[in-house]
Amino acid sequence: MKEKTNKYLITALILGIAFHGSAMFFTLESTYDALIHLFFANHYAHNWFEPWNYSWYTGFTVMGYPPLVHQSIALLSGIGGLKFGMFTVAIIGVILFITGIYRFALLLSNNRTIAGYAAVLAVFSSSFIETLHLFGQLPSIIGISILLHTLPEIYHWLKTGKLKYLVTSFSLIAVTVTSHHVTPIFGMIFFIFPVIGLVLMDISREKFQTISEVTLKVFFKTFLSRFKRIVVFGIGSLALIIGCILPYWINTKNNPITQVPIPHGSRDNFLEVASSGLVFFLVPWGILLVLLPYFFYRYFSKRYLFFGLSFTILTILGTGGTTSIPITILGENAFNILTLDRFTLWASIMALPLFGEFAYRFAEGDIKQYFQKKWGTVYHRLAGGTIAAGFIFMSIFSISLGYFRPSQPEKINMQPIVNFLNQDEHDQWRYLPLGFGDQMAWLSSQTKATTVDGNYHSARRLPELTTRAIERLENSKFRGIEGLGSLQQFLTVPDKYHLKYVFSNDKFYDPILYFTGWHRLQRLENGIMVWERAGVPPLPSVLPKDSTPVYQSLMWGLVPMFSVLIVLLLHLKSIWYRTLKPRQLSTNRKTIHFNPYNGISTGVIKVSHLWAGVIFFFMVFGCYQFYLKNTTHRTPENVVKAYYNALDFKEFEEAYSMLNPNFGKTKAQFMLEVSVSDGLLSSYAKLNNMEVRIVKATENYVELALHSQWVSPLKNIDKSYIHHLEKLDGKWYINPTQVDTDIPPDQLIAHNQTVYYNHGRRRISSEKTFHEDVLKQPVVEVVSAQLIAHSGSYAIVGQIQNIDNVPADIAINGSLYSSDNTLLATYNSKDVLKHKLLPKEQSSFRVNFEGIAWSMTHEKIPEIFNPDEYTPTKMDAPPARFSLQVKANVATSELFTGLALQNLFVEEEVLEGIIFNHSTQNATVPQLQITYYDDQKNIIWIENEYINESIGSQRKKTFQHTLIDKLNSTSINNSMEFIAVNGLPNHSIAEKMLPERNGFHQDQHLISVTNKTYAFISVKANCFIGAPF
Amino acid sequence: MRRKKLHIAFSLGLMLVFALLSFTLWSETSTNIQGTTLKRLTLKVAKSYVASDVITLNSSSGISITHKDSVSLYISSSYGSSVILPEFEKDKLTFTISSEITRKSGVIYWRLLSTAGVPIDNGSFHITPSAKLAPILESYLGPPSIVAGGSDYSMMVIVGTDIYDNLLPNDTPVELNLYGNNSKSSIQKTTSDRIFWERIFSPETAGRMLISGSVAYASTNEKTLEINPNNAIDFNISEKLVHPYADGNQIATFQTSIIKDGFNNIVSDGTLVKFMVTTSKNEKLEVSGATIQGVAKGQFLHPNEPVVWNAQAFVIGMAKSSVKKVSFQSVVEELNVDFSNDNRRIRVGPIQSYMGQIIPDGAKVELQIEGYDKPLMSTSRNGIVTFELMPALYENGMVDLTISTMGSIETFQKILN
Repeated sequence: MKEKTNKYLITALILGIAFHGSAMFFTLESTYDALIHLFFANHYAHNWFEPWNYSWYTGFTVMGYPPLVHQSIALLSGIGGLKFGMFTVAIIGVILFITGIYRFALLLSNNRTIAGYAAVLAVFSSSFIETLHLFGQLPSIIGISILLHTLPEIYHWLKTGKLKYLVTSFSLIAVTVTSHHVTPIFGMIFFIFPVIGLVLMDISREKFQTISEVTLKVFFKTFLSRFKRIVVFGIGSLALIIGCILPYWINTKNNPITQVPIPHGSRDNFLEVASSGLVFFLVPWGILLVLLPYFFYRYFSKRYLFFGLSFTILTILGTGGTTSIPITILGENAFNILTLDRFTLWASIMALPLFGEFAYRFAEGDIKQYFQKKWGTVYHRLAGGTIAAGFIFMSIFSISLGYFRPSQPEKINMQPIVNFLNQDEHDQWRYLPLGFGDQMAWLSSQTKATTVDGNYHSARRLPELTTRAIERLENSKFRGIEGLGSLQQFLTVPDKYHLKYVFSNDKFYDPILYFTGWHRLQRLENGIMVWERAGVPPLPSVLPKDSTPVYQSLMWGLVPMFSVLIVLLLHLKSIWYRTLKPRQLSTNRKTIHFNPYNGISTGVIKVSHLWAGVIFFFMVFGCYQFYLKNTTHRTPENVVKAYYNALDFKEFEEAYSMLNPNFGKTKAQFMLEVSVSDGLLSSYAKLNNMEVRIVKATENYVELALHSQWVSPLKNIDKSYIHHLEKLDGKWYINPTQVDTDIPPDQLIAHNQTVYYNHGRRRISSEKTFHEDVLKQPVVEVVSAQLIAHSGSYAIVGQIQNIDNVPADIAINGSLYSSDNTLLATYNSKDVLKHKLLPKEQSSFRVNFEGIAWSMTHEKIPEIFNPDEYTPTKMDAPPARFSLQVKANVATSELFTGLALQNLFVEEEVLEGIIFNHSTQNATVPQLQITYYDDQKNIIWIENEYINESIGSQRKKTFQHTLIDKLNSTSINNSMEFIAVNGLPNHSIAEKMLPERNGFHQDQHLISVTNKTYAFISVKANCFIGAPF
Repeated sequence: MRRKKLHIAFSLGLMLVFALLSFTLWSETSTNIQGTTLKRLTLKVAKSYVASDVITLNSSSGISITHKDSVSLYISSSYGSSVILPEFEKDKLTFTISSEITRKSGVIYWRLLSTAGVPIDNGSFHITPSAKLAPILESYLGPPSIVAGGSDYSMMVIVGTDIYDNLLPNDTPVELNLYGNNSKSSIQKTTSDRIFWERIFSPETAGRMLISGSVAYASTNEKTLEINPNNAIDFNISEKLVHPYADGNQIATFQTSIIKDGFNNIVSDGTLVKFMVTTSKNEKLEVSGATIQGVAKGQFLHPNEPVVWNAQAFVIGMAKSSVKKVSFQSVVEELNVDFSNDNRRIRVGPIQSYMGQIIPDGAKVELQIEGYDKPLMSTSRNGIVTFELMPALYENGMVDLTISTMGSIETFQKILN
C-alpha cells in the first residue's frame, strides 16, 4: 500500500507556521532571551571566528554559549538583517518542534493518526508557547526539537544495528549539542535512556506472545545482547557532546562560574510565590495537569516503564523549591545554577505523545466508546468540550501573558541612542543603559560602543558584578541593596570603567545620578535622558582581551555549521521521500509493536475524575483567596494599609474612597493635594513594608500609628504617620490629615539667573576638537583636608572651593598610603560633595573608601535593602598618609542655588530649621550637608540628610535632623602636601590665586553645639531638580 | 691505500692556501692604485643652500675617470640617507641633489665614496628655510583665560614656517599685535630657538583681549584671551522689605552693592555670594545668590515672630559686606480664643495682622497641652485655626493649655469634660 501523506501532520505544520509565525512578530522581541541571542548573532555576523566580544562586561568570550543558533541567525542576517534571521530561525524551530513531536509520538505509539494528533496538539502546547513567546529561548527549542528527531534514529540503531542509523544519530546529536549544551546532557538521561529501555523492551517482547512474559531476567539478557551497541552509541555521543563544543568546555574550566547565584523564579516555592507558580508550573502544564493520572498510568505500563520513571523525575524537578526533593536530587550547587523551568518543559513535551494518544482515543477510540456507553454522548461531548476549551484557553493565556504582565519596558526606539553614540566620538567611552530591560541587548547589537553592563550573566567578569546576585545593573532597582549598591559603585568611580554616558529610561535612578555628580545632557527624541559625567578619560585604543588558540576559534566557527551540513546531506533523501512520497519507502515500523487500544481501565478514569475535581477545588479556592486579599477589610488597620497601597500605586480615586466623607473634602480637592506632592518619597520611592499599631481606641474612634518603610535610590525611608479613624455605619474611614494652608506671597515671580552654554567644538568638523575650543579647566582650591578614622573605617574630609570665574564640575579622588608609602586604597567622593560649584562656591566633601561589597562569596548578604550600606576596604596596613586628586571641568548645568535655610537652631542635639525655596523651580529632592567641626574649627565629619518631600517655588518645609550623639572621629593626618588640582599642586594654586584667604568668613556659618565630641556644625543645602526648565 | 688518500688531501689543502693568499694580495694592490688617483678628487660645496633648491655639486677637474660608477656621493640628512651617482662632464663629475631632499632645512652630511666604499672626501652643508612663508603662522595661546591685575599671564607661542614647513630661522622679527580695552598695541621681538614666545601679563581691566602675530606677510589667526575679574573686595548690602513685620509670609530680599575686584572690575556673572544672618535669638539663616552685573540677591521668608536680624554677605575667603541690622515687629497684638462648652473644641482667631487685616493663610498655631508630649500644630485658614480634643485621646479633667502664634503666647486652664 502506498503511504499517504499524513493530513494531521500537514495540518499541524500549517497551523503551527501560521499561528506562531504571525504571533512571534508581536511577542518575540519583548521576550527575556530573544534579543540576547540576537546580540550574539550580531557578534558572529561581524566576527565569525573571533570569540572575544568587547561590547559587554568590559569584554567577554562568546564561547560561553553554544553558537549554532546565533551563527544561523548571523548567516540569515546577510539576507534580510538580524531580525529577519531571528524570525526565520524561530519558524524553523517551530517546524522542527512539530515534526519532532510527530516522530517522537510515532516512535512511542507506532500509529500515524496518534502521532498526527500529537503534532496538532503540540502546536498549541502552552509550555512550547511560553518557551518561545514569553522566554524566547530559541537555542533551547531548537535543541530539544533536534533531540526529538534523534530518538527514532537511536531506536533503529539499537534495534537493527545498521551503521546508517548510528551515523544519523550522531549527526543529529552534534547539531543538538552545538545549539544548546544543557539539552543533550539532560536529554541523555531523560530522553535517550528511556528510548534505550523502550527498544530493549520491544526486542524482548518480540520473543514472546504477551508483554507479561517479559521478565527482568529476559530484559537483562536483551540488555547484554545489545550492550555493545549501547556502549558504542554512548561513548560516541559523549565524545560528540565534548568534542563539538570543546572550546565551551575549555572556557568553562578556565572561567568556572564562581558567581553568586542569581535568584530565579523557577527555584521558588510555588505555593509561597504565586507568580512563579503561575509562570513556571501552571502555564507550562496547562490542561495537561488534568490528565496527569492518565499520563502516569500509561507511562508506567511495562513498555513505557522507563519513560514513566523519567517523566516522574522531570515532573518533580520542575516543581522547583516547592518541596525539598529537587534540591536533594540535584545537589545545592546544580540547583542554584540551573533554571528548573526546563524540566517542566521537557516533562510537558514528554506528555505530548500521550496527550495525542488520549485525544485520539477520546475522539475516536475506546475511551469515546467507554464514555458514551457509560454516561451517554452528552457527557462525552461536554467533557471533550471542557478539555478543548481549557486547552485553547491556556494557549491563548500563555501567548498573551506578556501582554497582561509585561516583563519588559515598552519598546524603545534605539535609533536616537545609536545616533547619539555615533556623534562626536561618543562611542570612545562606555555607556550604561538604565531601565531598558532585555532591550539593552538590541541596543548593544546596533552600536560599537561598549558598556560595563551586559545581559548574559554567566559571562560577567567584573567582581563588582559577579559577587552580587544581579543580572544587570540596568534593572538594579529590582535587586535592592545588591543592585543599587553595585550601581552606586559604578556611578561613583566611572573613570575606572571609562563610563561617561548613562541612558536613563527610568526616572527612579535620577536622584542617585545627580548626587553622584552626573548631569543631564539632553533628552533624546525617544524620551531617553542622557546623563553625562565630566572628566572621564576615553577608552584606550587597544583593549585587553583573553586570547584563544586558533584551533579553538576555528572549531567554534566551523563545527556547528559543518554538523548542520552533514545532517542535511544525510537526511536529504529521507526528507525528500518523507515529504513528497514519490514511492514507498522501506519502513522499519512494522517491527515496532502496535498497541491496540481496546478498553481502558475504569480505575484510571475514576482517578482522573477525582484528580480533575481536586484541581477544580484548588482553582476555586485560589480564586477565593485572591478575592479576599484584594478586598479592603473594614478594620482600621486594613483601611490604612489599603490607603497607602493605593497611594503607592497612584490609585488616587481608590485612596479617596477611604477618607471620612464627613470632613467634606471633595474628590477634586484631594486629587489636587495629592498631585502637588512630589519628591523622594512620592516620586522616587517604593513602599516596602508597613506596620500598623493602634495607639488609642474607643468603639468608634481609633488613633493609629503607621510605620512605613520605603526604598529609594538614595536611602531607606522610615516614615511614621499618625492617623485618626472613625467608624461610620460599621465601616472604618480615615480622617483626612490637615494640609498646610500656607500660601506663597507672590503670584508671579520674576527671577534673573546666569546660565551657561559650552559649544564644545565650534567648527562643524569631524576632526579632533581644536586647541582653541578647549576650555581651561577651572581653578579650584582644596581649602582644608584631613584623613580621619571614623568608627573603624577611614575617610578624607575637607572643604573645596571653586576660585575660578566659571562654574566647575568637581570629581575628587582620594588615595590612602601606609607609612611605607604603599598604596592601600583609592576611591572617589560619592554624594557627600556638591559636585557642581558656581564661581567662589564652597562645599564640604568626604571620600570614603568602599571595597567591593561581599567580595567574599561566603559572606552573608543582608536580605534587607539598605542603600547606605557601606563596605570598608580591607587594608593590609593602617593608612598614614593620603593624597587627593581633584579634577575640575567647566560645568554648565545643575547649578541650582535656590534654597534658603532659615531658623537653624540646635537643641538637645536636634537640628531644626526651615528650608525655603525662593527660586522658580520645584526643589524635588533637597539634600542637607551637615559638617561637624572640632573646637579648633577643623572639619571632622560630614553627613548627608535627604529631605523626603519636594519643596515648591516660594514654599517652605520645616525639618528636624538628629545630630550624631557621639562622633567617633580621630584625625590621623592633616598634611595637605599631596593634593593636586588638575594635576597642579594645590598649595601653589592657593598661593597664586588667593594668597590671603580670609578664614573668618567660613566661621560665620558655624552653629555652636554643646557636645563633647564636636563643637560646631554647619549646614549647606543642595538639591536635585526633577524637571528643570 | 690509506696513505695515498692522505697525500692527496694535503696537496689540495696547500693549493687552497696559496690561492687565498694571492687573491688578497691582488685586491689590496688594485685599491691602492685607484685610491691614489681618486684622492685628488674634491667637491665644491657652498656653506648653505635654500630649501627646495636643486643642488648641483661639481668635483674638482683634471681627473680622468674611466668608470662612470666608480665614484658615488652618499648624503645623509634628517630625511634619511641616499646615494647619488655622478654625471660626467669633460673631466669633472657633477652630483645633483633633487629638491625633494633639499626641502627640509637642516644639515646635510655628504661623503664621497669610491665604489669599493673607500672614503675620498666628506663635509656638510646647511639648508636654510625658504623665504616663501606659509601664509598662516601656527600659534598657540594658553591658558585662554586669566585674571586681571597683572600677576596672571598667558603665553603666546608662534611657530612660523616656510611653505615647506621648515621652522623660521632664529632672529626672524615677529610682530605681536594685541587689542584690548579699545586700543591696539604691538610688541616686536625676534624668534629664538626657532620659535617665538611671549608672556602676556593681564591688564588691570577685565574684558576680552584679541591677539595675533605676524612675520612679514604671514600672520596667525585671531586668538582670544579672556581677562576675568580678580578676587572681589569688600562691598555693601542693603535690604528690601515690603513691610517690617514678622508675618512669616512676605519675602525679605538682601541685595549687594555692585561687587568689584581691586581693579574696579565688576566680578564675573555667577559669582556666588553667601548671605548669612544671625538672629537675636541666636538662630542662623543662610542663602546663596549668584551675581548678575556684580549684584547678588538673597531672599528669605519673613520671620514669624519679632526678632532682629544681623545680616552679612560674603564671597567666601575673599570679601565680606557691611553688617545690616533688620528688626521685625510683631504682627499679632492679642489672640482671640474661643472654647466650646466641653472645652474640647478650641477656635483660635480670627488672627489679625498689623493693620487689623486677617493674617494671610498659613500662620502656624501651636497648642501645647500639659502632660502631653508633642504640641498640636495647625496652620490658619482665613485667620482661623480650630483644634479638636478627642475624648479618646485626651482624658477628662483639668488641663493647662498654651497657645502660641506669631510670637504671641497665651495660657489657659480649662476642664475637659
